[in-house]
Amino acid sequence: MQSWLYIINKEVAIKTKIRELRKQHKLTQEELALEVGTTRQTITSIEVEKYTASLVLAYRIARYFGLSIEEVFDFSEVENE
Amino acid sequence: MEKYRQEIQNQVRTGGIIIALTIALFSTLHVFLYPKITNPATTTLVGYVEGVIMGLVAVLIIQMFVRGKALKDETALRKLYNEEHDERAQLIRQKAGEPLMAITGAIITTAGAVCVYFNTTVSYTLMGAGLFVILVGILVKFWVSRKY
Repeated sequence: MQSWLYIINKEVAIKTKIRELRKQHKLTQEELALEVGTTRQTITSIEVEKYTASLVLAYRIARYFGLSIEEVFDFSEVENE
Repeated sequence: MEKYRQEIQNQVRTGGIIIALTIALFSTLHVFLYPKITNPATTTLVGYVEGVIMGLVAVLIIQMFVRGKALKDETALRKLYNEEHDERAQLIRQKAGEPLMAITGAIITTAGAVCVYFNTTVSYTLMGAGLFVILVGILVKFWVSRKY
């Protein structure tokens, strides 16, 4: 229960492949942010694991790259808790 | 995005009217009312209120400029929309208690401005406390934004 509250409060750092995917697609943070409806600062925070994207934003990012959420975000730490 | 564009157009229009009315009002007051004020407390209050309102008008002018520019460029408009609806920014505002800090600061400074008629020392203390609350709010927001 406590760990789920943690997730709701966005305190768990989730690893992502956004940086790699951006480089593959030759995208800047600014361009990706514009495409998925957020700001460059938010993309930076997600990439450096300071901030965990909401389900909606995670879905938008994954959809933009044509992948599933699990393929972009690494939930292994959540599963280990 | 079309709905947002209309919203911004309305904001620019309303903002322009507010700026024009404020400038017209203060110009009129400067010519007809201010020369007649002799009470030092009233002079202090009028100066304070005028300063605060002019500051708010300056912020409004900058906002109108940014919004007017965004209306001419689709990318800038989308960026503005994203900035205003950004989930991380909303989280930071919530965590920093921004609305509460802003309202408390505004109430204390207003109380300080009104209090100038009764006690100058209490008035300046309240104004200082109000500004301190606003400053703390800004610092907390800055600190929270570094955390997320």
